[in-house]
Amino acid sequence: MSEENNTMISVPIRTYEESIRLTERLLEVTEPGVVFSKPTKSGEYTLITASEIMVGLGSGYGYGISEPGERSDTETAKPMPPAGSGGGGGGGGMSSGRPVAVVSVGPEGVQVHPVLDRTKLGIALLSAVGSMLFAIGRMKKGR
Amino acid sequence: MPGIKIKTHMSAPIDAGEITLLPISQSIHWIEKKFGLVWNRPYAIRVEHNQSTYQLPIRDMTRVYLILLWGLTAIFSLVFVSAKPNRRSK
Repeated sequence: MSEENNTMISVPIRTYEESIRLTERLLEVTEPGVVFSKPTKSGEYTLITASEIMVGLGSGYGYGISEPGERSDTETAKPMPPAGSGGGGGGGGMSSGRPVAVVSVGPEGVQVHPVLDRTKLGIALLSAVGSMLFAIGRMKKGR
Repeated sequence: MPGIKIKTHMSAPIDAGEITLLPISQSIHWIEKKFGLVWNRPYAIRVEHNQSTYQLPIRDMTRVYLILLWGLTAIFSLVFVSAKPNRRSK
């Protein structure tokens, strides 16, 4: 491969390595300190919310280089396409947070109250019941 | 560095009157060349009161119920598949 092509490849690879470093730095932002909220006072009680936090990032890229074809001696042969190159990349990310429990400090002492995500449980229950009904229906058809 | 790492962290202590709370969290870092995932979750809370220390675990009840539901669905499916009668050959 020519010197020029090597230079062309080395640029995206260097950028890609930089993107990995950037990804690691972005993920470092999700410090464990954000799991517990700052204490809030309400009368005799001090409340702290404990949440789970998830952050995900992904990226990908691709490139290609075509070398020029060799010239044919025959006149009837089709002309070979010229050398070319192309590339592209993309990335995406997600983050989610959900309260897990509330820690309360009051006259009764320290208590941990779990927080139930009813929407999540409801959707999961509907999916489970749906899949069960589907399985029963298929079984009845099979008889 | 690529790979999966599990770490336990202790946050700054919180003073609530005579009680001092020490939040403990756990994080899972999964970093590969093309993607990265960080999951932080509360693990427990350490309580210091009158020179005694005890730890209260923090359980994610939503996850517990979800796992129970998935387990029940899997068992139900397995029972139905195994209970399916074999067709008799004529």
